[in-house]
Amino acid sequence: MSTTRTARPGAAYSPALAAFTEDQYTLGDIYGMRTAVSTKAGTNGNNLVADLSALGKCLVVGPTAKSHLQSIGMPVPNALLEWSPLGADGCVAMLHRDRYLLSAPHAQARAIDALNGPTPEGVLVLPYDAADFAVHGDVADAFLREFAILDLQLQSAQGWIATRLAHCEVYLWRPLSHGLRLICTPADARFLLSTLTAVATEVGGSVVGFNDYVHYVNKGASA
Amino acid sequence: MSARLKEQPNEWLNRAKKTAFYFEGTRYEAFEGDTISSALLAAGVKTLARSFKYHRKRGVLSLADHDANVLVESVHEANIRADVTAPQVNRDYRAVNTIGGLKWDLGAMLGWLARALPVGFYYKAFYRPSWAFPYWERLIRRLAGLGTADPRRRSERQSRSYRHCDVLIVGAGPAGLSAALQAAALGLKTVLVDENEHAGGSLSYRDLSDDAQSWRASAVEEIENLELVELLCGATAAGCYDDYLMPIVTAAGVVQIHARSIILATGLIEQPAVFTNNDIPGVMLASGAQRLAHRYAVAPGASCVVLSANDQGYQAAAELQAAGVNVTTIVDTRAAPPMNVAGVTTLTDSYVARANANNGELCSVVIKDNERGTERTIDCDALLMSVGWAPAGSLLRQAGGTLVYDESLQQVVPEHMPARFATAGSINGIFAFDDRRKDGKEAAKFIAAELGLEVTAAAKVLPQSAPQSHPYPIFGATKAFVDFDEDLTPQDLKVGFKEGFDSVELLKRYSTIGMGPSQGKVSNMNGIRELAKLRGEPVGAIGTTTPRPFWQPVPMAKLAGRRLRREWHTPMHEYHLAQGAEMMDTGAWRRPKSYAAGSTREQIEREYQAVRESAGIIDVSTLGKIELFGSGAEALLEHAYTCGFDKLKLGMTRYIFMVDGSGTIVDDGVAARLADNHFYLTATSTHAQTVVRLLQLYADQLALDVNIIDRTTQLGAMNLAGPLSRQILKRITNMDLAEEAFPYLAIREGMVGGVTARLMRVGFVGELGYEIHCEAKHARGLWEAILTAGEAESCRAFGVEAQRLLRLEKGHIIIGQDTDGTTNPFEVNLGWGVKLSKPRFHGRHSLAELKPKVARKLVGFKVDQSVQVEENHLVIEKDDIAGRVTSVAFSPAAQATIGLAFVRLELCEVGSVIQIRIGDGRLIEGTVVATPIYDPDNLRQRIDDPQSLESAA
Repeated sequence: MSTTRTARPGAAYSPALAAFTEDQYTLGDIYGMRTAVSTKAGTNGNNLVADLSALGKCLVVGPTAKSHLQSIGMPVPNALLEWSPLGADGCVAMLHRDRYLLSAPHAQARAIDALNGPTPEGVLVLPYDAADFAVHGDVADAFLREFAILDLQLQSAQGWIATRLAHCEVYLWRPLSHGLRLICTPADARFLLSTLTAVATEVGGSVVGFNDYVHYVNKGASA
Repeated sequence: MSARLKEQPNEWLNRAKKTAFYFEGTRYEAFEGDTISSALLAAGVKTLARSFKYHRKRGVLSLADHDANVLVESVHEANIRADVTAPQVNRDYRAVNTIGGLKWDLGAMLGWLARALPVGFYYKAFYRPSWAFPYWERLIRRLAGLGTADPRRRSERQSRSYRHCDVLIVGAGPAGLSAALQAAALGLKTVLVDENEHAGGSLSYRDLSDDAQSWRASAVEEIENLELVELLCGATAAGCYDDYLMPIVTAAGVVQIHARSIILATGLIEQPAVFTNNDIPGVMLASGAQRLAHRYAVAPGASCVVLSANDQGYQAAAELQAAGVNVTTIVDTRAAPPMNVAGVTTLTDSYVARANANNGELCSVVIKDNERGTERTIDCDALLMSVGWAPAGSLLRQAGGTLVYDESLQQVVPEHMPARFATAGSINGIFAFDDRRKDGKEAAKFIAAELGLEVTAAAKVLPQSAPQSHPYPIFGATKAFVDFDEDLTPQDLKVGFKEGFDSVELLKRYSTIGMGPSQGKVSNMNGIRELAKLRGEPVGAIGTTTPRPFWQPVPMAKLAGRRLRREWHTPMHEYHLAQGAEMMDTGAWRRPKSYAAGSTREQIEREYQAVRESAGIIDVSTLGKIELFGSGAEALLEHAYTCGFDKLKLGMTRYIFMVDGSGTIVDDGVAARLADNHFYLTATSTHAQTVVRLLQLYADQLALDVNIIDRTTQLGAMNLAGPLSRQILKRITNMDLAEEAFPYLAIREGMVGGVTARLMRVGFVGELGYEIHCEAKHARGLWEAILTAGEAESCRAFGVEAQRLLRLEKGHIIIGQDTDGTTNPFEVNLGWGVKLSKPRFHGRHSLAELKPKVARKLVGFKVDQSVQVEENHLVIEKDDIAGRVTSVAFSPAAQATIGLAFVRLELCEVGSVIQIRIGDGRLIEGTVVATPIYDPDNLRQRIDDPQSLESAA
């Protein structure tokens, strides 16, 4: 058996990394996670998919989780399965009566560092490893048209939608003016990204790197 | 001879674009817009198919996909509906179900045996003598069916999609178009679908006045420009399901429309008359002829006779005549028809008694005068039947609506409508063009009101006052066909009725009427009328059969949608593939079976030896991983699991299993106490989600303050096992791994290979080992860091097969393999883990009952013979089943085949000899042995000094 190894000790790897090849993408570290930094082929307007799994996420759990989050200035949603914005494309989502998911914005990936310190009694902070995809433009429309049984137009913009798309259980939310975000288990990352890639290819879109996405968002593009 | 007419005002053809195709080996031309059938008829080809049972010659009947007369196939596709399918360039089509071709079909000889093949004959034949049955079976299989199933065909799978709307309107005829315009005017998001390639419904071949056609054109144009309306043509509403879901089959794939309400403007299906030879090429429905002439500019014949029982027959004759079709005679069943057509002879109070054929195609019809009983023969090559209608009401029935027979109309009409459903147009028995438009508009208003809009509805549009359907258009019994799909005659229905199948549903199943590919669209109504006559009851008393989805056949490729094979990958998946692992399914997961293609015994033993002699590492990321946090966490564990947790110390783990209410083992794993109110559990790979759900259920039932967090896929996990595992691990962690600091069954958190990880001193394989859990994103790096650290010790990855062998030697059971749907803990020697002294836990009452009643036990056994014992081979005792093998493998440690088997109590003593029936039927002997056969004192799992290996093993 070959003993060729490529991983670096202590390194973090995007769960979708295997979908990105070095001939098509520049691979590198984003917030300590190896992922596709940029595509060599260039982006195609608004129609894109990007792997944002490098953005930090954590769960804050416990009966006093809400007050703890409020005490450190986190925006806490008012209702179950709703989210509050955290920066341009981060959020705090309420998953359960005393469970919150924090997803850092791309410009402030360390925004959740505040939670790494000591926590009060009754609060448990757990890292939340997930695949996180941004889906924009025609790709989002085509993907939802093919896989979303629910009518997003009937959903509140602040709705944190726990649903099943392309056989995968996902959290779907819509950051302010920035397309869709799909969060799924790392185990589904390859499968969901391959499905998104197929849809993107069909509608003339592309799968881009993290920095391509940041550039796109910073340009002020909207879905 | 070409039957192509001059250009028609509404034709669907693009005469500037021609294409060519082949039918039965002959080349034909078609215009763009033609269907296969219309192009063939234009070329003078009338015989397009053979019938299912008697292989009779058949031609076009409805040209609307209402019948399945004309099914063809190509090397690319089976059972193509030629009436509604455009020919592909240079494609070679052949009629289905022929023996030797369409022209000289040997299957036609079956027609000579018709008397010997009455309905249901196959229920009474072939079973005697029994030795002949295989012959008959082969023959029947060869003769039955339509198109050929060619496995080389590759249908292109198409994506499915979803749409959402306020109102879905099925049918873009006058009623549907009006309804869509009105719905949009009321602000409703509307989807309008029609099975035809162009909107307009019957207006594309009937009601050809300037007023009607100009309204159609402007209505379609307006709708195409409305943002609120989406028009889907060439789109068949295939079924109606709960919650207003309709799958719409389009050329691009299936669109699943979730509507808030539905309007069915599906119209009517014209019904044939039944007389001798009513199925031969040249006999068609008047609406079929109208479609042919006005859409495709093809004359149905050089000399046409219309058989009419209503006003639509006259309208058809007049409009066909205007299109250039030669209509000579109208045969009207009515004594005093209210109209006539200039230049066309009308014979009143008459019917067609028989069609005559020349070379199998229509050459004349025999007309019988009802009053005088006289007969006359008229030469013709096309007979157009306009004798009545049936509603396209299947979707309504599927939605839960009902239909009723209206005696005044001699037609079935909608009766009861589910909420937020409406019907509009001719399906309601409304025939006049203006009335259909008005009815559509009112239906949209009605729906808007149902959806909560403030809308004032006008007066309901009333159906036609005069009947437009003949009450009993059955004028013959011999070679007169009620059902064209199955070659059924009135005589067949009579036989079924006489045999006691006198309800409409029973007669359907016995005779197979309505069970062919056209699903009764042009046969059920006449079948019901015939049954009414046989029963001597009014038609309305008979009822209708249940129409189930799909309304039209849907290709499997369209149903399948995009090829999606979801599989879960562990963080180390790419490593496994890179190392050439043979992967296997474990629930949704993919796991390495072993690290070599074929998982040979040699490879498995190499991996096994690494673990036994040095160290190996296995990816156990698939294990369930659950965090329990909260003041109720311990109480939840006490309820969910059989053992006690009060003595589980901080930083320690214990083996756990849960049972269901009947005491059957559901799952097992490990529980670790991280804090007083914080536990970490593992569960088996395939039951993790079940365990999470059960824990949540129990927490809710007991109103416990506990957070149950499923981290199964967020965390990666690996098990480093083997006598040298500690010394390997030491190289990449500062944690104190000494026995006293990190004893067997302890759990510790710390930095390993540069990442935060949880380590548990547990093991499934019977060696010193560490189960290491970390965030999934770090798992691949940690995995490779361990392998690198262990290079000097030849540490290697091992797969599931080696793990199974290792644990078998250790006597550890696998839930689901060594247990079944009735196994309780006492049967598998887990009684020690059941704390019946606990006042309450799930399954406690059952376990208390079961404990003294154990009748079988899982035992270890050994077979010295070199024979192939397999899982599920039976243990036999005195010619009776006394148990079964649950696990078996060749043990390198024992140098014998070892296994686990359930046996009766009397056979479970160590040293007992058991008989195992192996694959070839032989009985071989095995001996019950004590388990575990490997390291019975568990010394190796606690070993501090690798030098003492020999004594421990």
